[in-house]
Amino acid sequence: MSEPSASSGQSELFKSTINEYLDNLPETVHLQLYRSPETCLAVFRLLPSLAKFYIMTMLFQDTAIPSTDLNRWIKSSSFNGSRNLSKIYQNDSLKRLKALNLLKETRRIFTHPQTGQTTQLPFVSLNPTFRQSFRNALTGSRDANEVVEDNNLESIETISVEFLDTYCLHRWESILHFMVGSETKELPSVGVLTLLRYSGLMELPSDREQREHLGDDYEFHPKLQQSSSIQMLKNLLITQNGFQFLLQDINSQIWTLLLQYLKMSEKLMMNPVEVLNFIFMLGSLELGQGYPVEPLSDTQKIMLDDLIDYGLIYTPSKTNKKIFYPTRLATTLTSEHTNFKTSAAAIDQEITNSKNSNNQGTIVVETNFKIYCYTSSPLQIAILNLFVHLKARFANMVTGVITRESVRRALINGITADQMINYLGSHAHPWMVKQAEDKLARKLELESSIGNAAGQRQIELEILPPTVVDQIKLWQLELDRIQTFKGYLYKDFSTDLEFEKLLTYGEEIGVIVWKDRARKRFFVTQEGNGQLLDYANRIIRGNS
Amino acid sequence: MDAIADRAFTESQTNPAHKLVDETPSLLAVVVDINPLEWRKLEKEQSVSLKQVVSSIIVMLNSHLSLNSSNHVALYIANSYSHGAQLIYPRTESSKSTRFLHTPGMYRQFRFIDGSIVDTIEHLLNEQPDTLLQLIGREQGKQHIKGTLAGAMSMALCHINKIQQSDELNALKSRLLVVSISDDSTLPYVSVMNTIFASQKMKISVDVCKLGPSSTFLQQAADATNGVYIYITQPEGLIQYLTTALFIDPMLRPIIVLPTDESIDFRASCFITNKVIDVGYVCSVCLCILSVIPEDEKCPTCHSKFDHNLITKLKRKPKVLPLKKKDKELGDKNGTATPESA
Repeated sequence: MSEPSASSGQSELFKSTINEYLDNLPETVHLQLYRSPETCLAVFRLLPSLAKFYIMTMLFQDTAIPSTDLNRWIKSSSFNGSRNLSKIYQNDSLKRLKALNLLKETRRIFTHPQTGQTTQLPFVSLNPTFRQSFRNALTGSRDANEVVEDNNLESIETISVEFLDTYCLHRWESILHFMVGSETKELPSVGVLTLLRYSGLMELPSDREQREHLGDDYEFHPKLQQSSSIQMLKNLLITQNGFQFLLQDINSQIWTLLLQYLKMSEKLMMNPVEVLNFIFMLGSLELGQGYPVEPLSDTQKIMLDDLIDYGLIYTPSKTNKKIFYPTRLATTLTSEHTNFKTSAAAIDQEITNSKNSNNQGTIVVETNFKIYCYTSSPLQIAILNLFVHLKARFANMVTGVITRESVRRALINGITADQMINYLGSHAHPWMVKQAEDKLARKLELESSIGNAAGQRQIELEILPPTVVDQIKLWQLELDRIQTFKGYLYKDFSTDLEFEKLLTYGEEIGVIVWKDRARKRFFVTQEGNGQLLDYANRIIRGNS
Repeated sequence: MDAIADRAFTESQTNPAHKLVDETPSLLAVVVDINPLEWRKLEKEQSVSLKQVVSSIIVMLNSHLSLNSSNHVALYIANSYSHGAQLIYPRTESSKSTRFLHTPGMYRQFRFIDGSIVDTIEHLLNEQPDTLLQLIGREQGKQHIKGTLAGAMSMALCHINKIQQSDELNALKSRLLVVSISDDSTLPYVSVMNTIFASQKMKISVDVCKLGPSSTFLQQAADATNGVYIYITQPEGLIQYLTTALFIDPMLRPIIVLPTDESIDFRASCFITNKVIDVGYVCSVCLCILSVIPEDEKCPTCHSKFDHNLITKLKRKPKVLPLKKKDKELGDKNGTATPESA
């Protein structure tokens, strides 16, 4: 049971992290990455819609196009507020394309046929490597060196999807159980524990002492070479980041770990291109189908062992690895958590739900801040215990109250109000969802009967009681009364015109944090400063 | 209470621009006209073959699927001579595609869809000749068999409706793309208009990719549903049209300028002769449009009897009259003449 508003927030969180990682890769790595069609496809899916559209328009065009052509697609005649927004949106999309080195800007010099004046016009074209691979992905023409041959595939027996589902969930939950410190029969492997420690989700008591000793600024960098024994790692304790991690949905959790894995693999001198390619390739494999290990590179074989530990991959025999099976955790990696399900996927979901019913759709929240959770899973109870004051536990249910103290405790642990609200929302009992939907339908009916179109758009699905949501947010506001932004202050303008010009431009691209018209100053975000400076230089040059 | 809650906490971290376009999955239904006679004509005139067009469409379907992992496609064919309107993908019966057309290692969803589509179309083309030869011999020069294109369009709308209904959260947005090659005389006016109204009501944009002679009805369909009508002048570059102008996702439509033709031919077609007319008669009971007055003086659609006196008046040849106006009869119950706007 995935709930739209809450889960979209979560998947956005994940998207921004993977996007950030991809953005910060150097251009050479990007070029290497784009040689693989699967990676191109995965990168393409992570882009905003408009960026996807731009790529499609340029994909089958071999020549560069004037960058003004890109602006022409955007409506400018719509009403004032939305125009600004669409411009900001376009800017964001283009920024992403440039950050990923997908879009290349060139300048061409044109001579006016009559006046003979030369002008420079910016042109854009798609990254040729990306264009070639992505075209190949779409048209199916491709080089002969394939990862998997179809003929070989048929000889490999398939494994039932249910088996893989239980396997991967078991694996993943055992990691989570270890994190919340519940009694488990089997410990996760040393590799997993090292990663948890490295990523700062968990720490050894000695690390904690060190951190407390050195103060908050201390950043933990464990030595990777130092081989830690399982006896030592068994004593790992969960950190603030670990608490936050637990509140994310499973897809974001996997991505968080994989990103940490990527960072760790760079330190271990593994080629990030091969690691990323392997991760993205997993997303395009078929569930239940076995794939031979042989064609993988050495780096990828090392990765295979690690991914088996996380439950992303299954191999029938531990010693003699010839065939691997991707699990559902792996194949859904590059697909976002979207609201829409095919009938087949819905059935699958049902199967996993019934087996794993303690994990989803169990929480009832009342307006009086009482919480009832129909679960017997120690994992979920432990997570709830992070921000709910639990009162009583029954065979299949726990009850508790959200109090100021319990929420404050969670906030101090670094869990945000949004995370709590999202968690409650995405795990809400189906009955609560249904009630909320009925309420929504009634409201919409009312608004449409009085013909209030603007009001209709504002109505949103409220699964949790608004009082509770508000109160949790208020409790968070109590803690952070000051918000900080890094950026630049613009002041001492020589003319009104200059100030107005820069301000309008800044507002158009959405980088202004604060402004004071009377004293002619405004504050710009760090990221937007470069763009604004460019513009300012252009104006000054234009005037002189 | 609720209203207060909403306004007090606007998400400061999330960029408002991203709310403008939400990333929801979408469904693309494509209807391809594969009327063999028309294709033969087109191949002669413009040197574009069905094979090229289908391969471009397959690439477009792949592109649509690549936008979002939850995106869906459906492909319908319309063929007036045999098979009629038919669903090609997704197949209803579980037919295991035996071979994969493209190289292995391709994204599995693409491979599956492409294989299934190519198999079916090839199968259709192979079995066509014998029956078709007879048809060509017999039917050429005679009246057209009335198009199944409208039928395929309504089937596609039904499919969209079904999928949207089964989607619990109603998040799926859909659009319909019609690849048409025949002219208007193969389209039944009433059914086309009905599909237009249906898609208008369902808020589904109808995009039209027009090869061959241009079509007023499909122009109207695109115009009424906020779709794109593109007349393809260079069929070799079809893929560029398909991935640019005809590739605007429903969620992008609010902010994108649609590259459609502004001047639309709003003329309707006569119910008897099937020709598009500038000025004609309208039955006052069922609003059916006529270019000639039928012999039996009955409406061909609703069979209501027209007033004989009025008809004789209408049939009267124009003659120079003394300055006197006679339009009080126009409000009468039976058979009135109303000029249609051109």
